[in-house]
Amino acid sequence: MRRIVEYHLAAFESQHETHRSTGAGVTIALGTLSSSLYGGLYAYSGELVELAEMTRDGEKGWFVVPIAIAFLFSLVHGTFTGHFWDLLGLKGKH
Amino acid sequence: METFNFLDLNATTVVVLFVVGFIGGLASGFIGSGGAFVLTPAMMSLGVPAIVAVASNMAHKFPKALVGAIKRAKYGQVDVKLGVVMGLFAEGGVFIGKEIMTGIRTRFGDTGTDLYVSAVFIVVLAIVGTVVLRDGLHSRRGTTQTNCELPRLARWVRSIHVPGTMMKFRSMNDASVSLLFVAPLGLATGMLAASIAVGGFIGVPAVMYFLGVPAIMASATELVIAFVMGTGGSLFYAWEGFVDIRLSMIILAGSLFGVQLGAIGTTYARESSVKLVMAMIMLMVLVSRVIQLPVYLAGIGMLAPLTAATRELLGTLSFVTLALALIAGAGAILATMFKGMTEHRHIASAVVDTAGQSAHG
Repeated sequence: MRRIVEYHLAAFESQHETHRSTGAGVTIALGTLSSSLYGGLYAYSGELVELAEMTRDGEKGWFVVPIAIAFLFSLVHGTFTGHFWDLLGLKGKH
Repeated sequence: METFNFLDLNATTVVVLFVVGFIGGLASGFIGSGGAFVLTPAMMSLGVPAIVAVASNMAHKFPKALVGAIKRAKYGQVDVKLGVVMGLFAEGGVFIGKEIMTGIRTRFGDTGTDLYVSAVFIVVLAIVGTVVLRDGLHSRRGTTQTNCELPRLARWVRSIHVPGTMMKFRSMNDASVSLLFVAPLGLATGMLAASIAVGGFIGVPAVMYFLGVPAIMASATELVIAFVMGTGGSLFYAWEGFVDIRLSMIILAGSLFGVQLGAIGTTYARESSVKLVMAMIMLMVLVSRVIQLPVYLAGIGMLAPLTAATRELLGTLSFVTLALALIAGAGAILATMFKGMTEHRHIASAVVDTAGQSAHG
């Protein structure tokens, strides 16, 4: 019984270790990408306000811009934040 | 046409939105309610017009709901079928709610929409918050058997068989329920979501008490509904040009951290904990909105005009109460999670010790 438990614990820990070491690199890369997106959001802040005003004034084609931005940020930042907590060892109980 | 300005962003606003986003996300990941019940009033407290607050909130809600739903689906907590079915009806409700909101804005201006949003908040929070609190307290005191019993209303709903409308749902142990019950719940969720950007407040308790879905699955499935209708609602509001995507993405920056953590927390929580945290946050936000009510009433002439000092005092008190609601909510969720994680580790190490002893014995 003890051997079975130890075997499973060792298997879990080795997976965890491998996941952590590759995880750190991926997490940092994703974090950098996410930060770049937010940098872009800041840089083009004025243009985005203008696009919304143009949309209100009748140029409806621009409505896709905020939606596309939302999907892009959720993909990148969503993946990054998941890896972030994983790296810190905060995982769900299965 | 009325002039209309998006908020000028400064460092304080950005930090506040990030932190509020994180806490809202934490709440959303844990209790399934969009966190919008803190985000919408918080944005309004910062000076964002109500309709922009609701629209921008929606544009952050659907990406966050997607991420949260995927995370909780990995823990087996999501009833995708129920989420999609309710989500589709919620889309219809979103359309109706949006028409009401823009209609009020056209007639009564921004103050009118602020008053409408606050009034709806107060009624919904008062009723639902009290119901969930009582239920949470009963759950905590009750035996395991009590916790497994269906609410009376849910038992009645499940007993009704209307031929041609029945559907089976995994979160109800594959019980068959008529679409004639599921559809109005979805519709109401959508209407509320589009008018005040909060659907989970109706959606989660509704499926718990009308359909008998357990709290943890109800809150997880709500994220699917939130994604489906959030996408639709955001498209509507973006079409009208009311989405301030800068606000949405700053909030999203914080909320995606929060929603993942909240989701992790649910795997360590009991049903009663989820209900009690839900009720506590709802009732504190209710107090915050009630304090602000006289300002809006005076603004549209239903009350005698208030002095600037009074308006400012009420605004500050309302904001402070909201901040306390957020902090208390976040604290409760994190405490529940860390307590659960510590207990889990103790149990795990006790199992190993016991196994070791019996091997040597």
